[in-house]
Amino acid sequence: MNKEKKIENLIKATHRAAMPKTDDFYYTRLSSKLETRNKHSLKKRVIIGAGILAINSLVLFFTFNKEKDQEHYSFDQAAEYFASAYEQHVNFGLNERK
Amino acid sequence: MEEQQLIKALKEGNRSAYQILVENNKDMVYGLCFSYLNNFQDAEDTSQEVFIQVYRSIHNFQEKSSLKTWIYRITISKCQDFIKARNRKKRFAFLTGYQEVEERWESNAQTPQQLLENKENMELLHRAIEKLSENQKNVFILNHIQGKTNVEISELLGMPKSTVDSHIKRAKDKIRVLLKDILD
Repeated sequence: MNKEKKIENLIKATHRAAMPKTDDFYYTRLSSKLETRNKHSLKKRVIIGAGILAINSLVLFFTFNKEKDQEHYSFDQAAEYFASAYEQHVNFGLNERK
Repeated sequence: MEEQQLIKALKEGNRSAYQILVENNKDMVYGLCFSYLNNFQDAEDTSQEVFIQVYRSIHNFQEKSSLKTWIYRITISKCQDFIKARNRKKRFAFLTGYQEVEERWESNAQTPQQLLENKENMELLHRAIEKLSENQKNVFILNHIQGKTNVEISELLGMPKSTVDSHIKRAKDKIRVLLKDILD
């Protein structure tokens, strides 16, 4: 048989060459793999959720502390403002009497 | 079970429906994976990945095509991903793929000699197919190995029939040239 004919037969033969089939335990292995994946997926979700919660907690903690500092700063600032305003008022009153 | 009922049951998460789906399609999926990957273990791993993907994505299935067509497309996509990953890792498992037990081949061959010849022929052909472009490989495998018509391939791959015809012709011409080199 010449080479060209051999090649043609080879290409045609692929239609007849049957594909391998799965064995009887294929579904058992698939189910097991699916359950393992679902379990890992749940574990991953829990870890990611806990991580997000931890990060949120840290952000809230630092934000709260910063706001508390700002409250003090605002209070001090307000006290200084009123002291300065009072002094000006007193000086104004003194000047008016003059 | 009718396809509509099966899809409805799958979307509801019915495990029995999933088992029916796997039983009805496992040989097709496994066979198609083997056509691409030329290795029993890789074909089994990839076909399992296909069904896991089907299980997770069934609620996104919009029924614009048949369930079988949708599964076919997922299979082709998973095989292509596997090949890309394999090329990156430069594994050569396909060279040992044909040393698996003969019992997994169910062929029309009547004698062990014909069975062996089938295996050798498939190995030669797969080496040549590996060298085709992605589109040519897809259409050649679906046409010559899976026995799909050009119209079916056009629907599966979402390309015009004329494009499928052109790819098949080029694939066959290239295979002839490659097999000449291999047979030399």
